[in-house]
Amino acid sequence: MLVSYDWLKRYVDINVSADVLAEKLTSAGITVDLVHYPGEMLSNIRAGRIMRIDKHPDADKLVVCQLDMGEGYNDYLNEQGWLQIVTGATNVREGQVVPVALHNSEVVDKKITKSKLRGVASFGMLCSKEELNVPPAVDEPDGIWILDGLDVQPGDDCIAKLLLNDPVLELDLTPNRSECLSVLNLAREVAAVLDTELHLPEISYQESERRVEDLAAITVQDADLCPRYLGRLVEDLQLAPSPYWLQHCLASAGVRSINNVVDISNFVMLEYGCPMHTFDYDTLQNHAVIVRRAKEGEQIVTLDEQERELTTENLLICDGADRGICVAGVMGGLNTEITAETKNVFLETAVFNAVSIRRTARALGLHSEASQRYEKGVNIAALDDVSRRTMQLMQELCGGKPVAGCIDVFAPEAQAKMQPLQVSLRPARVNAVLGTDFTEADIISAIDKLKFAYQKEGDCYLVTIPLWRQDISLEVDLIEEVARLLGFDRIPTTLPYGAMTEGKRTPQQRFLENVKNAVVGLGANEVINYGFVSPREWERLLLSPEHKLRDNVYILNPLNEEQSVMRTTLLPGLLKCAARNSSRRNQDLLLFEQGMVFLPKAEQAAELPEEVNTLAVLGYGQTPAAWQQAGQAYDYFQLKGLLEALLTQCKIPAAAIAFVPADEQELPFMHPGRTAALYINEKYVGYLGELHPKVQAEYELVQRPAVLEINLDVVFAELAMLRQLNGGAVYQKLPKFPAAVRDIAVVLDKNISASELERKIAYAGGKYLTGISLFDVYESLTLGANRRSLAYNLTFQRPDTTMTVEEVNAAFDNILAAVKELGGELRA
Amino acid sequence: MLEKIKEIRAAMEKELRDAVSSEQLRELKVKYLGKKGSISEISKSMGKLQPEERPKAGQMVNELRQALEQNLARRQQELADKMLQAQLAKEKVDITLPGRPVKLGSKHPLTQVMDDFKEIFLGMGYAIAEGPQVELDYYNFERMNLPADHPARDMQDSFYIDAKRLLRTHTSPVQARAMDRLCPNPVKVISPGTVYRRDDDATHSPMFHQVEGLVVDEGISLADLKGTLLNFVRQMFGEEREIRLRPSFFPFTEPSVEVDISCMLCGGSGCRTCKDTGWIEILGAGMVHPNVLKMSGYDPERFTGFAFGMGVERIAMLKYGIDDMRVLFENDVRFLQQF
Repeated sequence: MLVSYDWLKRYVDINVSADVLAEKLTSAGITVDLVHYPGEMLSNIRAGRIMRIDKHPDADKLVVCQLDMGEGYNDYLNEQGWLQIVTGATNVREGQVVPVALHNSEVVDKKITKSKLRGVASFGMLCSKEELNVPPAVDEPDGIWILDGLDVQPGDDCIAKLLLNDPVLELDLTPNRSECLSVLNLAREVAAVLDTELHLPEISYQESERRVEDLAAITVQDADLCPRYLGRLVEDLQLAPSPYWLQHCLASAGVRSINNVVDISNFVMLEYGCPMHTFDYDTLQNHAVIVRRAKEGEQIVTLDEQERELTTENLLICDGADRGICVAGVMGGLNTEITAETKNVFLETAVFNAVSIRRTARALGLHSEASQRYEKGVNIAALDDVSRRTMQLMQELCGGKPVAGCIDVFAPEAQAKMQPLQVSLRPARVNAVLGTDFTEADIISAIDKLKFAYQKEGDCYLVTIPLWRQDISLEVDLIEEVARLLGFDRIPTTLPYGAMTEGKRTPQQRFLENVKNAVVGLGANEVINYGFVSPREWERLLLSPEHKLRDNVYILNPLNEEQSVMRTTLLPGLLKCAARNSSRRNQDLLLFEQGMVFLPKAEQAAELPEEVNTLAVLGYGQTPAAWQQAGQAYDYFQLKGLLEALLTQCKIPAAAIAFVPADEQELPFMHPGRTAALYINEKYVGYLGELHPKVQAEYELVQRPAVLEINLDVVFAELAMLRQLNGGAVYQKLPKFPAAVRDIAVVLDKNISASELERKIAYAGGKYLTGISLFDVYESLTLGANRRSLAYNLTFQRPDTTMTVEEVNAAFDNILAAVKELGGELRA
Repeated sequence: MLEKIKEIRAAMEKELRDAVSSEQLRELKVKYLGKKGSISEISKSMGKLQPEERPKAGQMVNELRQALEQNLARRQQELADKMLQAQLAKEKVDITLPGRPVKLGSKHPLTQVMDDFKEIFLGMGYAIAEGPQVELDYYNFERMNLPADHPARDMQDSFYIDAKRLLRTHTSPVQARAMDRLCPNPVKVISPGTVYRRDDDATHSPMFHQVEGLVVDEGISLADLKGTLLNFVRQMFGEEREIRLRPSFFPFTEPSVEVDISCMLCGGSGCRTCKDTGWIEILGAGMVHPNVLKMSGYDPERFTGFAFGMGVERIAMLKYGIDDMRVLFENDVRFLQQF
């Protein structure tokens, strides 16, 4: 919403500058984004009268003008006292008053100085509207701005006289204050904020003897979409350009001037915030208007000459022949528009259903000044004033003859809303809600500024809410009025007074934070990806059509396919991060994301999906290398080390953890030989491994990433279970007696996993075998095909005494026997 | 005899001085103190002396032995020190060479900002409330006092799953759920979380983060809100910050305010960041609307509350001087490692 300072001053006393006004309005909740000064670049523009025009001696297209610049101007005048200016304009005539940019003046994008044009001295420039930053009317011919008839005399300062630098306030209204889309309502707000007097327009005009009931008829068929439709008729209009003050007001609001009739309807719309529509009465068949829902597929050509197809959602205004003449509240029809021939105008002021207008405007892609106001709601009580104000101006400015009376089709249930609301206001409650100690007089002074009527009843004031303030219906709404008009700076700062509360995280929140801290401590950088992904990721991950990760929550109206399904795994996001980084030559990465994945609940579609706290880590390239240290590739074992460290941090005992070969069907995107499934307490938690080379290629990754992804909710649940079973950590006394360490290197079949061998050794070694630590893995044909050697340090220790050699030997022999059972032998 | 002792002593002292290795010292020890060493020799020849001479000579030999042992030990220490010096000198490194790299992790700047929020409000006695990202339209809108035909509920602004479910557009539904859970007890929570709106450009991301706060109790006032926010703002942005409240509008609060803080870059004198106003808008807040309280079962005559909400991205951008929201979600590791 744009409005000029001068326009506001027509209705309210303003005793401060535009900038101060903007500041005061903003701090009262009517945000002024910006104050524009349309003529800020202009200087030294003076009105002059053209006394004489001569042909230029050396140029056919130029003329030499002599101007009377009025009293008090003496520079560069010739002996007759005239200022000589050469112009190429063709619309200048002797006797006209025109704006003159003097020597050393500024107009739009130009500095003007005296000069010679084809040898003839010119001491300034005659200006067009554009050069003074004044928008010309639609279809106005180019040329110098002729000021005849504008009460401008030679010698006048044009900038002041023609309001060329009248400040324009650009408002950013909150939805509850859309009533300020009306200049009059905004003036009311200004009056409240500045505590000054209002001067609202007085409406009066002369009606003719003819009566509107005899000349027109209105039928509203769909009152639910049109609670009130009010029609008036004005005859014998003379179309002409609008007076300058009207053009200026419209220009400041960003509306172009067309002709007096159209301009008046725009002007009154801006004044009252209530749209109206003007029909050429003589084009209305049967001189009747019907308001009804459009038929499915019904067509109408709107003012912009576009053919529009409508649905039953849209409200249509028709004439007596049931021909569409206006898309209600959105845009008029071409068939009844005001033209140069128009003499008689039928004026519609109406209220339409806001939702219906919004949908229609959106469906047709037409967001007009009118539709925007209807969408935000129009004060139904103001319709008659709007209509009469229009009649008044059409009489004053177009010489029209308003016909007596009006046709007012007003739904009875809507009429009930004409009764202003009474809202009670308790001063004690004001102070309780605001935390202030305003006096009753303070509080009532705010209501007085608003000029709302009230009466006192006991401890309470009954305040009558004017109909234009639809945003006020509760006591708190009035409390807000008090706060903003007395000023939020008068509200003290306190802290809530009440019982002490514990600020603490839940155990789960603590766990999730610990996990994140641990992963950061292990050197990973956190990324944040969108919660939605492209369904194409599933193909890139080689998922079969029935794979469970494809069971997705779909977004009905995504911005694009890339963001159309909620993720069921964090992996694609991380892979894309790796690809993006890799393409930017960031070749060594350890990234993680901790976030939600979304799993639909199969049994009931309408239920909310399960949101699972998930952690995924990706290693790419190698660990940092330096001058005395080679980097290590992020492979299966690098990530496994990280995961083991993380689980240890989480206090998951090693005995509860199992890594088992992953199921290829479940994890088709992983390297089949280098992927493990992680179980805690025999519950599936996630996977760990290297990416399948095909998937690596799909994501255009130069190197093969290692990744892990685990369900943190399961980890947390199992951790809680383990805590319940085992209690918290219990101190183990440090051993007092020395340990015996023996090495063992076992050669056995490659298919026997290390963990299987270790389980055997642990079992066979007995309770005093306290440590099994792998130190070498060796493969060679000399060991036999498909065989390898695994070498361990074994630690034996008794808590109560030093172990004898015999005891150790006995345990070791047991272990050897167990190894042999597995088909293994001691390495020679 | 005495002459002999003096001779030995002089020779020994010279030899000790000349010795340069512990090897030589060992040899000297053998030479003088060994079974066949000079001192043993002298001791053996003591028998030849007159009995009255023996005590004196014996004393002298003992003194010689002691002196020798002391000198040897001292010399040994000197040599050891010297060798250590030599070793240390040899081990000298260029201490300006870089250390062995340790891979450092980092939390995303948005996480760090949310952590800051949590710390501050935990310290003020708030709990952290959470709720689903895929939310019921009912909690997201209706419970926030946005009736069915409200323009903010139009499809084009929100990501819908179906008629009843959508990606939450703010973390406010978490507050409704918290009130439902806690009514009629007081509420004091913050709700940090991920939210979604159908917007994508340099200043909007279709997914972003919010932190909202809610306090409901008897006797809660707008002054309490102002005090709480001033406390928060000073912890987050510095002790010298001031706040300014301007009237605004949200369907779920009344009165509603926008909160500005004095610009942390220019201190309020005006700069580019604050568009020469000296103030930066950082959050919206207000007193919980009576309808919102009622829907959770609180009697709005007895209970009042305040709520506030802010965008984490905006705060992070202000705090770290980030000028394009999109870099936050590009996850370039060179960016991530800066925080």
